[in-house]
Amino acid sequence: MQNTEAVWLVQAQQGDQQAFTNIVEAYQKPVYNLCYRMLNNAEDAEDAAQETFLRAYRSLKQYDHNRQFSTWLLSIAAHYCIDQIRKNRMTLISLEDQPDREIPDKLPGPESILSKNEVQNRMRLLLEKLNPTDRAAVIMYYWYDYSYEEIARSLSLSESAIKSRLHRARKEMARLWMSQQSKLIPAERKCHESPVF
Amino acid sequence: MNHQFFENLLLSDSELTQVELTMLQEHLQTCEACRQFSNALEDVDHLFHNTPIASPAVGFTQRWQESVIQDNKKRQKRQIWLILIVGVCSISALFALLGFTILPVLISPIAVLWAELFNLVTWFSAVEWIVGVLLTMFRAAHSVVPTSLWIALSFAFMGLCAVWVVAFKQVTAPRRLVI
Ligand SMILES: [Zn+2]
Repeated sequence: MQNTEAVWLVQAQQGDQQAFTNIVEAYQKPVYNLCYRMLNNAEDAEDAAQETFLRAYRSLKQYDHNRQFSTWLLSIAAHYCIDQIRKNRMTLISLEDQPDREIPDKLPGPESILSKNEVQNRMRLLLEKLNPTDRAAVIMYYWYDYSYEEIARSLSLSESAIKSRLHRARKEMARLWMSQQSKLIPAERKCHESPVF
Repeated sequence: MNHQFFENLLLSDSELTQVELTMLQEHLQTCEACRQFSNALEDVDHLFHNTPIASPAVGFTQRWQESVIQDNKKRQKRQIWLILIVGVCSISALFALLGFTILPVLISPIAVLWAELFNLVTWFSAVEWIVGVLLTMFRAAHSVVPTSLWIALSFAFMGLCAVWVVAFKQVTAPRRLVI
């Protein structure tokens, strides 16, 4: 795969659009996933992923072959998404003002297992609470198994900055998870309580 | 010991020493807050590790190819506009410059004509004056220097010219190297 990818990259750098189309085919999922987790919206994620590939295609001549291509590509996607979030921040309604996006108060199920959608919703809430750069670092850390060095390179930050950002973000998410749990437990108790009492 | 220390141990990515591990386990047995934090961290890690990668809708690559075509068209349009704007600006600047030059003629053509005529007359009178001075000097020299000396001077001047021509030819002629 690495060799094929290198050949595609050389061909694409020489102006072969079909070679770059092969790269798009190979990397569409990781790029889309990053955009989707960053922007929390399928439509915006599609636009961001398309824009990422377009930017990569236009600036392919500047790509350094000593660098891992996936890191370079995801770096473009992450920076684009961070910019989009910052741009839209003023127009976005804060989560506190969105009662419909809160954790549902009802009991998740007879076996206290959260449904798939509810789990996704909780994860979305965790990510949305993070600042855009921390969010990108968390996504690369969990989904792409990137090393601190790779995350640092992708986000143009130092390794120590990434370490402290991830430390802070994971702590923040664990605290938020605890507060989500505490909201769920009273609801669960309420449902199990006998009407007699 | 405070909770912060144990939270940092729980969040640490590097492997804990045996001492740290024992301390942490002992603390977790007695501290409800840290135990809850540890469970929450585990849940979050588990949640992220088990959430699959999101995939785009079918036909992503085709849509990308279309977006490249659209982008190319947009770029071409932008280039055409740029060329048009630069062209219009250049022509405007040229006309402005031309207008600036012609403007005095358009405002008062007779004054400009008079000024040009005056310039011409000034030039003619200057040339006439130089010619007059040269003629006077020649006449004065003619009356002072005898004719035989004039002839001798003329021959000497011609000889000098001939020497100069020969020397010039010698200097500029291509040289042949003998090996
Ligand atoms: Zn504690």
